[in-house]
Amino acid sequence: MSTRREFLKSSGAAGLSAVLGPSLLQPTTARAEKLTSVGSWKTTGSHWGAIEALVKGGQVAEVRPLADDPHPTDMINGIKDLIYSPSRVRYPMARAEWLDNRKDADRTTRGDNRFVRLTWDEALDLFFKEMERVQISHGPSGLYAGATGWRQTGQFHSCINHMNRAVSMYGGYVKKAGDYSTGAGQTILPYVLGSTEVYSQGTSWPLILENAKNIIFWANDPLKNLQVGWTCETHEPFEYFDQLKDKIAAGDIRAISVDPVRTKTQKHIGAEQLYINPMTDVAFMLALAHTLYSEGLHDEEFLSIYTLGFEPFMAYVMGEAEDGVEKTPEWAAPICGVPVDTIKEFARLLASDRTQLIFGWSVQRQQHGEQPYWMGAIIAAMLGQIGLPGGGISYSHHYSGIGVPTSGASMPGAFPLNLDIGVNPVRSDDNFLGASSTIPVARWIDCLMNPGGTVEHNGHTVTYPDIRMAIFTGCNPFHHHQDHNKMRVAIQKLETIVAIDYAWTATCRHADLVLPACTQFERNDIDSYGSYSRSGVIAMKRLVDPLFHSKTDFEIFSLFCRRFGRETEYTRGWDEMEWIESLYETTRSANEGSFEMPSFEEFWENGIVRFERGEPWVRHADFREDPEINALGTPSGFIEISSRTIGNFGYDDCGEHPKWMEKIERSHGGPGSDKFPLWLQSCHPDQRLHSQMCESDPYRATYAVQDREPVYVNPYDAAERGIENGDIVRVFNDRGQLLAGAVLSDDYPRGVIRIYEGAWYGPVDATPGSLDTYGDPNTVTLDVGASKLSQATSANTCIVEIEKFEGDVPAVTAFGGPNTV
Amino acid sequence: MSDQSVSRSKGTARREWLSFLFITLILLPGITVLGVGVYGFTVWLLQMIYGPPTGSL
Amino acid sequence: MSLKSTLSSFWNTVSRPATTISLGVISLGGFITGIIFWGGFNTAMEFTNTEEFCVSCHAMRDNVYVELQSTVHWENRTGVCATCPDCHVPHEWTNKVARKMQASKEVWAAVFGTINTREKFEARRAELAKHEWARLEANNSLECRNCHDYDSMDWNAMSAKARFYMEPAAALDTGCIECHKGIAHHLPDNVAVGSPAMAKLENKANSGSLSVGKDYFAIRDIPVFDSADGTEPVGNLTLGAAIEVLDENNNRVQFALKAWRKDKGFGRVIFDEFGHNIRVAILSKDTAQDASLVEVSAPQTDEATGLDWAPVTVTLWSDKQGFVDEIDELWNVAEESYTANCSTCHAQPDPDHFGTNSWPAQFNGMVGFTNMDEAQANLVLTYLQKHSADYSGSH
Repeated sequence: MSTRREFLKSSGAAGLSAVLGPSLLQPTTARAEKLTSVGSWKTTGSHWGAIEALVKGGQVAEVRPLADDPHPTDMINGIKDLIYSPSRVRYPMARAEWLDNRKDADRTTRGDNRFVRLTWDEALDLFFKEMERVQISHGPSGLYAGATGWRQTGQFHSCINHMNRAVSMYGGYVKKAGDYSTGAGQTILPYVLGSTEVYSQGTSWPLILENAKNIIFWANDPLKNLQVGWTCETHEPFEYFDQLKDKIAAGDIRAISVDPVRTKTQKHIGAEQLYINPMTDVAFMLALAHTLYSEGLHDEEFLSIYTLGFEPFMAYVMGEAEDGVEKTPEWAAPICGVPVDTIKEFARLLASDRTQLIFGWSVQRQQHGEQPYWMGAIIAAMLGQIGLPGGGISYSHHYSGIGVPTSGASMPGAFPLNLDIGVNPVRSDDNFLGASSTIPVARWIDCLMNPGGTVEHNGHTVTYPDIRMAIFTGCNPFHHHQDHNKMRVAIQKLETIVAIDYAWTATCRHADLVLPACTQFERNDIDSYGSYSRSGVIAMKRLVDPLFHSKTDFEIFSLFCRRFGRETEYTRGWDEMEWIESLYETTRSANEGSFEMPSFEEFWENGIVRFERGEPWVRHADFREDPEINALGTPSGFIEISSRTIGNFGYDDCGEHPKWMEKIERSHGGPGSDKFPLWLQSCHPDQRLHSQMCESDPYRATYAVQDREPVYVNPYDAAERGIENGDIVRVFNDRGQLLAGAVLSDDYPRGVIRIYEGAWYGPVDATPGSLDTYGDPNTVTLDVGASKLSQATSANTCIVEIEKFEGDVPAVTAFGGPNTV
Repeated sequence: MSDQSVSRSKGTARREWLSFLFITLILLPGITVLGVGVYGFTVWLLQMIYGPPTGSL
Repeated sequence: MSLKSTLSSFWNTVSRPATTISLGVISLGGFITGIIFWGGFNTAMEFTNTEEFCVSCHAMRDNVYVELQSTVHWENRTGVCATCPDCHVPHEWTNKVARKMQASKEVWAAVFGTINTREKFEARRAELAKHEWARLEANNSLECRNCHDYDSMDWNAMSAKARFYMEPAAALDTGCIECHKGIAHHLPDNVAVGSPAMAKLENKANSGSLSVGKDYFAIRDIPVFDSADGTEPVGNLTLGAAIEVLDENNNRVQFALKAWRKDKGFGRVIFDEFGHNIRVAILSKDTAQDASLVEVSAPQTDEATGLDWAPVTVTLWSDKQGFVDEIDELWNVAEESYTANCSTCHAQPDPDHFGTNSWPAQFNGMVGFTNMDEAQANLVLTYLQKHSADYSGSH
């Protein structure tokens, strides 16, 4: 808690007070922060929304959403126990075996969770010595620091930036391209629609509600995903979904969810469901294209003015290409499980009126994930409504409040990731020994297993570097990467793994050196309020001091840089509040003349500054208005239904236009379905942010089944296997096995089960193949690149079998921190 | 030098004093002010053509 | 007496040695009146150099004088304050006198009420500010340095934040005004107080000295005309466009732009190189289809897209301002902007990580996360495209 005097002192404000007139230095009775014997309320932000916390006796007693949050998420109830979780990383820890033998240590025992406690000095010295050793003996190609993750919120304390800046102060390292969220989508859409699309603002909801007659939620569950945001979430879109619900009830809008599963959104707004076999969306869409074309429902004028490559694609659809197969509804029906007449009716419906297509991200997290997105764009192009309000296609309306109009205000920048101008790293070696300096993020395990090997990626050849050391900060590969058993073998290649986190995740468990970062609730920061709506700027007040020996990432890396004489260059000599004020002031001058912002002191006291909501906007409207001047960012400037650029790459798994390609494994009659008939869907959880908050024990207890992660199963499939509601089941395939708690539900069709990703991995022991006790779906998923184009994750290409678990049920090992020896 | 004494007509003193005062209080000050003014205008004009002073000599 | 006789009488008196006034009186008198005059002259001059005098004009008193009073130059910890002439009147005598003559403009304004209301003042604020910025930029903030001397700055006495910015500035002897615009009076609305490096480039480009037969680069969007005296633009060059000057006429030049255009649509967008989506000009439909202004040669097919591209030579007129003969400085400004703006969330990719025609899509997907305005965004994108994998030959 910062008293006025502390604030002035900490901001080095001797000069500052000289500038302020005397009136600003009068004691102020801070409205909400008055210290009393019953505690004080402080405000801060989080991925889950803006909150107020009652802090009493130096402890957080209660957390509640900020009063004007229009639709707070239930997950707020998990925040307190996230701070006080028994799984907190308390002290710097080193793996016992590694501490004894370092790079010669036995790495097969990684994951046995036996750790020794260290002091900060010991830990940071070890961290630096290892980095120095690797850089000297192997150069920059020996170090992988490709952090990718949702981190905690707060622009100053963004851990990714801190780690990157600090490590860059010393030397170079291998970086990553892409991410796990939208790897395939963000790679294909630039070729087709000229932008990554997946992280872009979309048509504003008011315009969709006003103009669309049909809204198709394609593998998309916005009401589940809009609970969290990349920066402090405002939950503004929920009011639009309530309006949508009314419009559907009144018959003004028809909403259809194309999904094997009945989603949370579908149920709440009263949408209809169009069932489709998992992973068969492309076959279905090809048949839709066939129907639109055959019945003359496609917009020829739009296609001729705004697109390229329609003819070669249609030749494929009409059976005039190499495969000679006409993609009729009759051809598609047995593959996708949608009846022939339904396919035709659906195509006619889409063309009948203003139709807004909204795709989710799960559908591209599969093998050939580029294809459904490409096909979606082609369907939208054939409908000819791209650029019209309530028409066209979106790939992002479920994310961080997209669809709420942007205010236009500038938002705070972040702690600089790069070195300041004029600062040079200690080592200027940029020789990667013939290997690539950047690898596709989802291929890092392949990289470990195959140094020097090559792989195609988005038009070039990547040569895998010989990585020896990896640093992970606020990043949990043992959550987001597939096939954990393969991972456990692959990481034996690494001599040193360093993890910096606030919770003892499976990544920490498999690391050699773990440093305790504090949570965002134990430090001050500043954030944007509304990632896309840019509704305001929020002050994040420190609720309590860092627990145990945890530190802010800023402090950790300042001390780290001290080891090689770069501390001042790293910090600029500024402290936390000086940095935060600087970020605020830069934002304020960027907004000068357009958006009023008070002085920093006033902002910090009030806690939030808000901006007026912006004007509604239509995506792609400018392109539609003038495709020549407002050309898309594709190679030709037009929508590329066929892409010669991709065609010229010569990839067998991503060609010149979308194609139906059978998957390496698929349920519902696909390859391997005789042995493993169930499709495992591992989409984003409803009650976590990925793996964040899984360790909030009381909150997890509200959904866990016999302490395990729920697995949702169709009642018939369960009955066939003698599984009853609440039973512990073993989910398995050739890649691994896990325990989960069965929840029977009609929302799931036969042949489909769901386990939310982010369930913490807790293997019984360090042996690869050992049973996961809690229920992490990535124990059994497939680790293969979506295609040579994106090399993205294929998490949703996964088939399994389940059985009731008999015998002694092992205790859950995923939580509770290390075993200290 | 000739033996002529300088002629002194009536009012010479007065004329001389008036001229003295005129020169010292009006004429020369006036010329100076004008001269400085013209100097200033000239420099200003040159600054408009060649750009403002750069601070170095 | 008549004028002629007065003059001749006067001449007679002064062209001869004095007869009634002694040499001593004349010398002493001249000396004394000289002193009185010089003292008086300077007092009068200095009177016009007082704050009192400056704010006697209510346009000053009610606007910028009020604004000054909330700044550190008015009231501060050590009581060292600045008055109007300290900053706004050159201290060096010759320049001071020139400024006094220039003040005839202010006298005119006072007499004719050019800025005698708040609204009129606000309308001219940007123009007035730019005069002062230009003056201080030209003399490297000489007036500021009369009090603030880099060599007398105690780095240890400054806040860490101040020192972070001031020490490098001192090393480069950066003029104070480059960063400290708005230190004493309110900034004009909507005037982009951008990077000092860009400001320098703009100054250079605005000098407008172009030679016929030489090549130049546009550093920003520049309107183009179909004749030497056309009043309505028929399009614009975009930043980075390379032109050859063919002719000049008053403040206009006629240029040739050798470039390319796509054969689909009206051909309004002109591109830098075959198959590369780097724009160098945008023309109106009529101009684009006017063969006398846009000479089109035989098209070639771009295998990457299947589109035909035709080489063109665009011959139009533009004003002389906005061109430089070397483009590298502009790319340095762009690089700094890229590094600063595009690394908030992740390390920015190297420019040669993507090809020229891949950058627009990547950029479109990411630019929404930055606070760059359109001009800055355009500068960075063009920089990336010109330094892409297609130019570096890597990857």
